[in-house]
Amino acid sequence: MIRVEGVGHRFGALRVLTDVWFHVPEGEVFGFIGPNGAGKTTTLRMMATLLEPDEGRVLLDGVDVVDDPAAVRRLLGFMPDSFGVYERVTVIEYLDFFAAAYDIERSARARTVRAVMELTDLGPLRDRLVAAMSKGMKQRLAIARTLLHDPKVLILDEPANGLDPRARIEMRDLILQLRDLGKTVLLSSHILTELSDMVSSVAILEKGRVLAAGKVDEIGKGLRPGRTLRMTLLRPPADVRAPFLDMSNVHEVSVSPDGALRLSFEGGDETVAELVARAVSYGVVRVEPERDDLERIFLEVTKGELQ
Amino acid sequence: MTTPTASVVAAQDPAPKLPSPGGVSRAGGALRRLAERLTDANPILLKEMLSILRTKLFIRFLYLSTGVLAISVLAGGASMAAGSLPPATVGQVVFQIFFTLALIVIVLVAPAHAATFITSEREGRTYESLLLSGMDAWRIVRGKFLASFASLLLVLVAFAPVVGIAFLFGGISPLHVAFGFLGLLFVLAPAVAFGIALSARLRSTRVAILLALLLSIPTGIFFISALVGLGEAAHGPWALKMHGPFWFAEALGERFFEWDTFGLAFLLPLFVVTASVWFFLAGAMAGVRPAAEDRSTPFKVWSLYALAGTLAAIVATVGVTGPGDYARASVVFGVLAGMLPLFFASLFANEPPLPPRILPARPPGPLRRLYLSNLGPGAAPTTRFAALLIVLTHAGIAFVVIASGHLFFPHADQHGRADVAILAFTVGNTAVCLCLLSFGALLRVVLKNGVAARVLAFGALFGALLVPLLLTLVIDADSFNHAERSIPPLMHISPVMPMLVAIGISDNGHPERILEILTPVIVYGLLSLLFWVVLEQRVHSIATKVDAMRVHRDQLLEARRALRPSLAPPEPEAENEPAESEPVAAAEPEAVGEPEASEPEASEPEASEPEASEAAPAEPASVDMPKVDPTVPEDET
Repeated sequence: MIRVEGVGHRFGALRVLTDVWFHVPEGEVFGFIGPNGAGKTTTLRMMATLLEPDEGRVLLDGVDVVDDPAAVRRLLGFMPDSFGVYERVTVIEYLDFFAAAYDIERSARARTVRAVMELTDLGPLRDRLVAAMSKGMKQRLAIARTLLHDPKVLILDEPANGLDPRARIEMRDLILQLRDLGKTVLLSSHILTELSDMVSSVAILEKGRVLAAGKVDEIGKGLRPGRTLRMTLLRPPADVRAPFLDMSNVHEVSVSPDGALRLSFEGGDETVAELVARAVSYGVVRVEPERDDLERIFLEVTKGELQ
Repeated sequence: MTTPTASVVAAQDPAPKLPSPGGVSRAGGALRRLAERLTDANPILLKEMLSILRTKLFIRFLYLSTGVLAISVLAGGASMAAGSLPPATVGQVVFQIFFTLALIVIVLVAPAHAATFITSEREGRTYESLLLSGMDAWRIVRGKFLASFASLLLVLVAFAPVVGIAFLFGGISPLHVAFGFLGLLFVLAPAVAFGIALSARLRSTRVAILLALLLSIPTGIFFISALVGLGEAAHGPWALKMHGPFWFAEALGERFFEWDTFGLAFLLPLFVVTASVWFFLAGAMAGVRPAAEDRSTPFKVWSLYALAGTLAAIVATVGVTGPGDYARASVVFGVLAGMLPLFFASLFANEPPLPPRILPARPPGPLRRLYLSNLGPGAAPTTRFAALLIVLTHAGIAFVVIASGHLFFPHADQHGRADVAILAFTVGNTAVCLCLLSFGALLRVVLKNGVAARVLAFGALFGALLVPLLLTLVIDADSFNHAERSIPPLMHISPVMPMLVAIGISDNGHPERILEILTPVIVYGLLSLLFWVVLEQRVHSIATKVDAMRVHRDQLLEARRALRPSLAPPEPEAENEPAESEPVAAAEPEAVGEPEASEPEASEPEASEPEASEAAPAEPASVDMPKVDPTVPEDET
């Protein structure tokens, strides 16, 4: 649905993006992650036709954002990280304004606005002045605006930025709901925990370069071949490696901050059974495969240099 | 959005569906869309009016300005009434005080008020949302203009009852008041359009307000003084009683159906108002549109209207001259009208070399295709359009001056010299204007900066004016004493030569002196031809390079895409070469028609960011990827 191909960009003498390639499949929630200043917002603004790339091209549903920005704008809803709202209108007036701006017929406008308010749970606030709304509500309103023309693609730049925990959970639920409606959602964030429950694929950007892109699991496997098991013991031995020393296919045994053992190994279920058998005398409380979580992938992929 | 609990419920219930895009009017029929357009108010107008009427400051301004105006008019009326003036005269003075004060408010407030309308969107970070909604520039500009105009109209409506004080004294009629308000509207519209144009081109609201005030104060003083002066001139011929800037209200009220009053006090101002509003709004559209879109076509359409109106104005003004001074007057009108093609030459000498890349929403029809390829946007077609326009304008001026002279004064004995004089001027001035146009357009393409190109082009024009003049003065200062018989030789290459020849012929006869126009025609004609040929060649060369680079970029990207079919990340590159990651065309620049990467025009078509291309001399890929941030107004026509 979105193809970013060899994109590069400079601001004056400063190169901010270098040969950025990634592909967002249709109907997915895609995470675009990276530290502050990595070039996420610049890339998203290119996708949204607000900035033209110096090199390469960006295609949305096969349409080049430079050649036909009007067609691209019909395809996408973009919520920038820092946006303004018209303060002296009410919620319904705001949405009605944008529905008219999107050229939605007058007869269909009220229905569209109502549906979008229902989806974003803004119905009870319909007559409230935008100036009197909290930041979280304004974020909802901004998302509602992007949905008015029923775009195929949603690009949300730091959608949960500055929201309280409850509003973040609500935002996550909304994004999942949008995915269920068939939208392709591209989310940028540097808060990985908020993304991990939503995204299936990611692109990791650092210093204007894509360091990794693809399915989260595949990236994790690429980083660390084999399997990792988390094992919680009732009475862990002083030397946690001792029970597994003679197993040549166990690469690493370490202790997690929560006290659980992390066992990296090659092999199938037989190896798992043997690992459990060797640990059983120490009181096995829980055994679970370790997930390739975004935080770990991110830390391993990025270098943590100042951007 | 739902709470966690609600999301559980939502998981059981089907999620609310969004209406399909079928609701978007693009899918509807043309007639239905047209009907809806006509009955559906501009959303920006509605939104702005809601916002304005909910602003306390605006309401306070309404109260305060009306109060101050009422007190001033009352005080003026009372002081007049205390004297020995008859009540009717007092009523007329009160009438003039009211409208003059209202005019001052309009002149001062309207541009500054309108100047905030688009800058506030930029500063409030709502502008991008507006652009992404797909609203076209004309709809945005029109909405902003109408909203500002309507809100200031409310101010005039609030002022209206105050003029009732004048009726207490008599001497005026409701028609006078109606034409007085019409005059205010005639001033309000261009003042607002000017503010909108400023707002579209500037980023800061403060700067926009400041600039609007700085420009509107001297303009207002000049305008009011000019109105008073015109009133004094019209006082005798039209037997007017009122003095002051709003004399035309009496003239129109009493003599509306007299052709000279109707033409000069209504139609001519109407043309000036509509032409200036149109021009400012075209400028605002150019400010709102990204540089990659067509910015010159609105100006082209406007120029045709300006030309038609000017020709009509010439007819009207020739008609009010007497047969005795007809020959001189026709040359004066011709020279004054000759400023218009000079303005066209400057206006259209600011096009980027290549036409906009952005595809039109619908495929253009055959006529539009013909226009786009020959006279449309882009330096070469626009120069062709402007050259045609300049020739057409001069031909039109010559025709209407000569024809209206014969029509209005069939028995005048000055036709011969008047006709030759105006022909001499228009032919000579055509060559000068064409030279200015092609030189300015070439400079724009070479320098990639419209302002610099205009400044240099006009600098060259003034140089061509001053150098022969100064040299003549140095060589033989007395040669100007008998200029009516023989113009000094060096002045033959001056751009004012056509005017001098025309004045000489109209004043002294000797139609054979038209041959003196040959020198400037040949000099400026050949120069313009030379500049034009160079311009066309340069534009062609840039277009060829850009096309080659685009093709090469696409081929390269296709090849790389084939190597990277999945979501897999790109191959890691050398750590110490972050900026040289084989940019698209830099990989094999020789293969794309040997583009000279470091050539200045390599950063075209968008030349407004030369820094970027200079910073990346080894990356010719930037040639076809002009950077455009629609939120930033850029150098434009």
